[in-house]
Amino acid sequence: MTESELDQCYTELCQALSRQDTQGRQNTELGLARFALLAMLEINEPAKVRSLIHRAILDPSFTLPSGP
Amino acid sequence: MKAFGAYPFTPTKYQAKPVSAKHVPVLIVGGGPVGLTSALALAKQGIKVVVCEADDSVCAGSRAICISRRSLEIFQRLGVVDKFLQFGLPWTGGRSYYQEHEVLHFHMPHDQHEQLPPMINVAQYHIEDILLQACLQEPLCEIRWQSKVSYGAQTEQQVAVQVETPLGEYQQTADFLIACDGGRSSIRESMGLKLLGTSYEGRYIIVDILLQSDRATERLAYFDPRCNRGSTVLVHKQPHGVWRIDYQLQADEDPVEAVKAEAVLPRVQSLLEMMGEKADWQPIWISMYKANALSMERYHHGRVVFAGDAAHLLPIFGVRGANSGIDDADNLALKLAHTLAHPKQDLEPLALYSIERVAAAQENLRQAMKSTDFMAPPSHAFALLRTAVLSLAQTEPRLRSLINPRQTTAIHYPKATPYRETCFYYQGQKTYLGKLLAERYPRDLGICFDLPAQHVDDIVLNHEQHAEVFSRYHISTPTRILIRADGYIPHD
Repeated sequence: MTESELDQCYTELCQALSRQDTQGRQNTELGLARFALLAMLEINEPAKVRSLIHRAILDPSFTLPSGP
Repeated sequence: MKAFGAYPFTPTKYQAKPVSAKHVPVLIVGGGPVGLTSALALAKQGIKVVVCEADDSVCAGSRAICISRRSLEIFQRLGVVDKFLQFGLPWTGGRSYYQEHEVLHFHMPHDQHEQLPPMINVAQYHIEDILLQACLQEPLCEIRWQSKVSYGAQTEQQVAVQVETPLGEYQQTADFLIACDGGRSSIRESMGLKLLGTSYEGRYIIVDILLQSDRATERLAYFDPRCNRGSTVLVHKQPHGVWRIDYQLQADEDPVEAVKAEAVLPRVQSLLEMMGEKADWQPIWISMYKANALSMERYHHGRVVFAGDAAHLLPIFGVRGANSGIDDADNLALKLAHTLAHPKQDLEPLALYSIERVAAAQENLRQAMKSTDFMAPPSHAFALLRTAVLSLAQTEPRLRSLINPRQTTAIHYPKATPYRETCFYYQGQKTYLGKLLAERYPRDLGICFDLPAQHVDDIVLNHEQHAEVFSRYHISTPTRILIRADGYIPHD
């Protein structure tokens, strides 16, 4: 994936989730959860999936932003 | 509102009687499925056994409803399986729906080598009554009704208890006591022992109804159905026109109001309409359930041994409760009989019972908690991911295993593995390993593969005539396999 392809995918995800957002925040969450499950199947490597879970959520350096 | 009907079973009432034997080899506290299975298994091995049951009949209401193949194999060895097959409705799989779509159609392992179905549905009152009638035929088995037991003390030689009956109190002693007195075991509490683990917050309403329907027997699960949005509903067909319905309460529902008939019956009506069931129906039973996943650390405490719910409490999802208790009873009865037959030896077989069945409980807990996490999500995150799985499963077959209810199966012990049923011709007759085990009960079964018999009870199989058995057991060189009387193959 090139930088511009990454940028395009990122924007598409944001736009898709924004559309969900208009129907309620829970739909945004559900969209992300569905995306995570499909990504798990595509990655198809337990070690890689666990590593991503750790880096995305469990890493101690991860803190919630204080602003809105 | 609909009038309540009655179960198609009237339990016989039994009264306390004067007792003579104030010392017995084995005293069983609790006359439920686990206590009665233990009693039957011990009596079949020539052990005098007394069962003290606080109530005056077998149980009432909606309790255990599914008996696994493993339990049926145990009942076959105890000579009662035919009654279970006569009363029970066999089934091999089930379906799960998300909203209006089928998202899983599962099948439990079943092939032409199996003699027994993977599961039957039969109500606990029938389970207890079948076992009770068999116990009453055993001269060595005495059932004492209306007999409430309080733990007293134990020495190196015996256990002493106090028994309270309508006819008065008396002291009873026994070489060994088996506590099968349920989740609120008074024996366990009197001994200061505890169950450890997790209690879940999610609540389920349990409803039994009478409904005549020719729908197939299978486990039905409805997630977020249109009749009960946001909830999960389980449906099981039982014998004699009884249906068991379990549905999840929402977190914001008042449980006191939710369990009332006026709240429950419209939901049942709406579910039946959704299922296309048009016949008239009657409610029989309503109760509420909260899942627990708890176990004692050890089941053997000197001359007191714990089994069933007294030793461990498992969530209902996956039907491990009564089935694991029946497995406890089978394992324990063989080891206890051995201990009684060798009084000069130590209590090592009972310690092994504890090791094996605690390991089984831990595995059962692990599986049952996974089922419960899906059926009654313990947090927003679990609920969110469950919805994600359900909403994708129709188009993503690889996600469907996450919906599978993980129905109970025989558990591997640290040093023993459950035998695999096999059908073959032996001495001119079609037979099964399970049948040969039952014929030999309580003896072990030795199988010699391309070897002469090593023991008088051994069966001898040769590759030419029994290629399928060799293949099913992955045997390529002459060898002897021992199947323990409880159906386990020991290994190092």
